[in-house]
Amino acid sequence: MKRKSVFPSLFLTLVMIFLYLPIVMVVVYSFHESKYTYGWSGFSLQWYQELFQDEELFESLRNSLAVAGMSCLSAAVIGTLGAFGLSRMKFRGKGAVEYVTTLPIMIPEIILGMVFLSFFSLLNLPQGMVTLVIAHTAFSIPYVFMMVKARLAGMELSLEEAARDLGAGPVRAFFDITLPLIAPAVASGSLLAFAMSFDDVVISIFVTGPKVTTLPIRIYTRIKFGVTPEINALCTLMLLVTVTVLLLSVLIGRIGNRKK
Amino acid sequence: MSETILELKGIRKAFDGVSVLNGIDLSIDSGEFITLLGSSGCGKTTTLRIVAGLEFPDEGSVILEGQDVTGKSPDKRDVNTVFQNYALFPHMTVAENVAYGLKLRKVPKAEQKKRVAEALELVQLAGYEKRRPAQLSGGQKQRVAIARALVNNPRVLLLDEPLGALDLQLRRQMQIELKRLQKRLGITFIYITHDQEEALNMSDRIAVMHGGVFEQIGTPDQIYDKPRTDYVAKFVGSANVICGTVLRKTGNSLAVAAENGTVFVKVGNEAEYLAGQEVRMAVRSEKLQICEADSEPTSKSRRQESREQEAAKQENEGRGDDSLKGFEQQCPKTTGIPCTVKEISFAGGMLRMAMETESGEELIASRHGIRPDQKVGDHVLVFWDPEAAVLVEKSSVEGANEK
Amino acid sequence: MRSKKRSRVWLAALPLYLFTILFVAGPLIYMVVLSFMSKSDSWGIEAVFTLRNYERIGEPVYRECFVQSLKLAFTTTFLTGLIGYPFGYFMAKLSPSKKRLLLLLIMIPFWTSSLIRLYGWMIILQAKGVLYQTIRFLGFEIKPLKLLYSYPAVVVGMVYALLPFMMLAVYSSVDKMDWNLVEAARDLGASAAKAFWTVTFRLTLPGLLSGVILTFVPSMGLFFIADILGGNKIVLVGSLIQDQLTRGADWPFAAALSVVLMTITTLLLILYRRIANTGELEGIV
Repeated sequence: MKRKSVFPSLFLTLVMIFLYLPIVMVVVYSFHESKYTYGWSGFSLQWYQELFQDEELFESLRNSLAVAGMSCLSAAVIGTLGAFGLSRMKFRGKGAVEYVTTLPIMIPEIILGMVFLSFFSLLNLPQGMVTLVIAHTAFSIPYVFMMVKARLAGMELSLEEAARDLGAGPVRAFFDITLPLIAPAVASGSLLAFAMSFDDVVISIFVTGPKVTTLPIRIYTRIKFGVTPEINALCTLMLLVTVTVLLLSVLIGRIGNRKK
Repeated sequence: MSETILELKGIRKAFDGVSVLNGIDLSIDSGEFITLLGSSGCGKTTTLRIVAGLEFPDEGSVILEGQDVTGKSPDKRDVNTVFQNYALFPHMTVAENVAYGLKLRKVPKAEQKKRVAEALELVQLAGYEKRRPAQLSGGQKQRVAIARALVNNPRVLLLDEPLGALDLQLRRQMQIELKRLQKRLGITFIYITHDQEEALNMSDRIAVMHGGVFEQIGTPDQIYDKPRTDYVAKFVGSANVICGTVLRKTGNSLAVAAENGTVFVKVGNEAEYLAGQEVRMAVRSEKLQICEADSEPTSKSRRQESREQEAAKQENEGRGDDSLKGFEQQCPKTTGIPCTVKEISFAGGMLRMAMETESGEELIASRHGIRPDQKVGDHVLVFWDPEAAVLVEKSSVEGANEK
Repeated sequence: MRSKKRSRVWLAALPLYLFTILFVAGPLIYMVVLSFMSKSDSWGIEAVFTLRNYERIGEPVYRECFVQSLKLAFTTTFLTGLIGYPFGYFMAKLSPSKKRLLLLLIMIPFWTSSLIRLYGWMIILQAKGVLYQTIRFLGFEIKPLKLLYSYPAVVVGMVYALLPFMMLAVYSSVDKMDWNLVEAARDLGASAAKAFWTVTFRLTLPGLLSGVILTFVPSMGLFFIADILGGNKIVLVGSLIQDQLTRGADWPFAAALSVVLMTITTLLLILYRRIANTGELEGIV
């Protein structure tokens, strides 16, 4: 009845180009033969070779994986249990408790960084792995907490009651009924937390010590102080992993749906 | 033969300062089918949840088979619940759902399998073991929920409006099946509903709940024919409740002055009534009889004069089978309540006529499948067979008669 | 009083309580306390009450820095809204399969390092970079660009980093909207533009506002974007705090700066709650 305008799709495409342009550039120049990132003088895999010999970069990658892994695991436990507990309680000031819990992702990261740095030094905590994990856990909890909370809000309370009625204790009912049903929210919250932790620069810079460097900090210093094309190669590989994982999850989801 | 299986003693419960149960006492016999009947918010679900252990009373005690279980958590009680929305675990198959209670009781695998199969057989769902709740229809979910509770051989089965979400036809069918199942297994059922017809059809006893207390506890016949309070009369029999003052008692007929008219109620021979005493009468809408009034609303003075003669005449009048006749009956001419017809409507094969008394009270009359002789605006006299009316008490709950 | 037996479900929330009190509330309170303390002559803090830290913020240098930060934050937010709102709106009108694809495409960059994506912009914007070469390729003779390490570069970087949040926030609220309402408005005689303004825009305002918060708040503190794309020319509050913490070693002053920044953020959140009538930010979950 109405002529379909081409403007929306054109607009969407242009914005997507804007989003992907820098990423494409990084990928393209990871195969550049020269270390300069302009012009094109030939194809080469030398940056990938150098990347695999870059012990420093790999060490920081390991650190980042460790910090992100540990903080996302503890955030998953604390956040899930917390959201569960709070959703089953009624008391004055519950809103305030939830507000403070989600504060770490509501305020600028720089403030968290400053706050943690001063507080950890007040507590005399040695800066390094421990402080990194605590700080990352703090800003990871809100992601898990909010997702699980939303999921619990949509879940019938009577399911848990039915389990209790059939003879399950409170703990058993949680593990048999509630946890399997909120598992998708726990998973997506933790994944998001992992991604945020893995990519965090601002807070990590403040709370880490001289001995432990995470990948983003390493990249930051390299970008600031010199041209390092193997970082392009690293980014390309990370992208490859991401796309593979996403495609796999979509595929698995499809197969799962077909089964039903 | 029948022994008490469950006793509620003086149960009180308030949520956030609003009291929901105001001292409930109930004693239930083994093997009984008892229904808690009431409109939403009357406290019936809270009562059920207290029996199940999902809620704890502020005061009072729950005694199951002679043991005080008031503070015990639901997993420590030998009662099971069929939840209003079924509460089937969506991540488990039908068989896993039904087996869940047995698994928790550490029943051996082989026996679990056998009992699950039996339970599903019982609710006619054999062959559905592998399905997920999402793949079942409403009626099938209902059956799984019942099987899941019954498989544990509970002493008492609690059913919270189990048929509320089903369509009318399915509901009728399930009512019959549930009743049959209960008779066969001999398990005590505590059943919750807001549907009086369902309650009257299925129960051995009905407890009508209102405002956190029981208005009346009795057999369906008692509840239907001899409502104790005006609320029960209105809720169960959708009766008209009319207030009046006693004129005199002749034999077992009580003459009552009400709404600018005189009406009659049959009472017990021994019962004593004083002239001037206030009474409430309940008359079901299908028992109201109507006839054309002389012309204009009758003047009060004239009515007063003729009352004496009319009273005597009225008592001798035959009582025909009114259910098939029209509204028009032998007209008492001078007694009866003068009304104006306000509205005439048909619903479900029923003719419904709303009338207003001279003081503004509404009376409803209804008949099956006949045409009205009256039209809106007509002046009529409303009367009834003395046997059709019952005296009721005023409900102790405030605002009881407001909708 | 409520019942004899209370469930012990609060135990589940205990770890969250402890963690939040110890590592969120505690540090934030300490920040406020710290902001009233004095810097000792050498390295460190003295527990002497002072208002000096707050007075210093009024000094022209620092005031200028706040003004510049706010200006950048406003510019960034305005531009992300300008691009993000139509994007979210159009996206919500796509077919479900296209929606899913687009969501996936928006999520992928989240999983690559944000620093490397900024580095991609360096490649594009540098003097003889991709942009320069493209313009040359199109036949224009120009001098090497002076875009990198400038204010526009920082704006591009900020918009780029924060745009996905705006897009998702708007998308989720448009997607939830009942299109029948728009049809009803049209049916009642509203023009397409009028229907959009009086119905669609009003109903998706919470999403837009949530996007505004999600871009405005972080843009005040993302010092590393200004650092990488702006060189040392643009000093934001974030950079200032970082500077005071590391080189300046004036923690109380850094704390005072943070308190002011935090106050601005909190006021914005309260404003959002008032207007949107909810505490939840759309598009996060």
